[in-house]
Amino acid sequence: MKKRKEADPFRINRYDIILTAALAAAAVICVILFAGFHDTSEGAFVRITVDAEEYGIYELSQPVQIRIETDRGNNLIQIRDHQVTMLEADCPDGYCIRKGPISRIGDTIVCLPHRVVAEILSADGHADEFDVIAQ
Amino acid sequence: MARRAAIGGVFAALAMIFSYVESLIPFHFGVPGIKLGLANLVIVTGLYLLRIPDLCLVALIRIVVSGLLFGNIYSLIYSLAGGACSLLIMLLLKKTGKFSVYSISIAGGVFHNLGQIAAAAAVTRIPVLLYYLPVLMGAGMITGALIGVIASRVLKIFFHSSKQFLH
Repeated sequence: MKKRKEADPFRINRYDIILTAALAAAAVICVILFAGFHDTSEGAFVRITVDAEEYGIYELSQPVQIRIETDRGNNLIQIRDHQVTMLEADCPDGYCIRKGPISRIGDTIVCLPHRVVAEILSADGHADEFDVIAQ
Repeated sequence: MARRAAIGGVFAALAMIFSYVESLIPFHFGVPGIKLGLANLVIVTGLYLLRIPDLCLVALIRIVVSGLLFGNIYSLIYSLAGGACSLLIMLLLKKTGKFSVYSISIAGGVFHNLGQIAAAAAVTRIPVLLYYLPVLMGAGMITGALIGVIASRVLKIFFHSSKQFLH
């Protein structure tokens, strides 16, 4: 309003297009980095982590139910038919239950409020590049 | 001064009402942290109508109070990080004078989600949360664009009728 050279806030200009395209490109680069070079075949193990500590590594071929009880809350994880499902969780959002079954390498179920993570690993125990970062 | 406080209060109250309305609507996109961000409408509008310190205060009050009312201490921390990132980038972009409200709002939406997920990954030490980055960025662009369009409508009305009301 005051200065002449200020862009009209209600008119899309070329800077808007550049900025929006850059943000979209950044998102696409993330997709390629995370999914593009990464084996997505069926996994062999699941690693369960609770509050950044490894809770256990389980074989997908062995059906089992794992009950995790912490100060933050309770989760029940099921391994059946080579799939991992969050069966029960008393967290407020329930995203982990709604996520449904996972079975491919690198797939994760995260129960953020309880800090419980289930992550599918390959036969040689790898999931993804975050392994390296997390070390 | 009293006028500024009153108008700031109106903005903060409006933002909290939006937060409340949003907490009633069961939006579930399957990814934690994705919301329409109706309260950001007040922040984007305030970018053009309030002074910078007032706007920061409105954003802070909104996040802290609605976090305590409708969330928990962790969601409050994540929201604070997201809100700070979002506000900072929007103020910087606005300052350049080159961008319209639409792309400023889009960048605000993206950076809100970036700040939020970064804070969550750091606090919980769950690096795989970063897998949500692309989804959150895409969602931030869509919600940011929506908020930008609504904000432009609101601002046009303000600029045409009652700008003197604020100064």
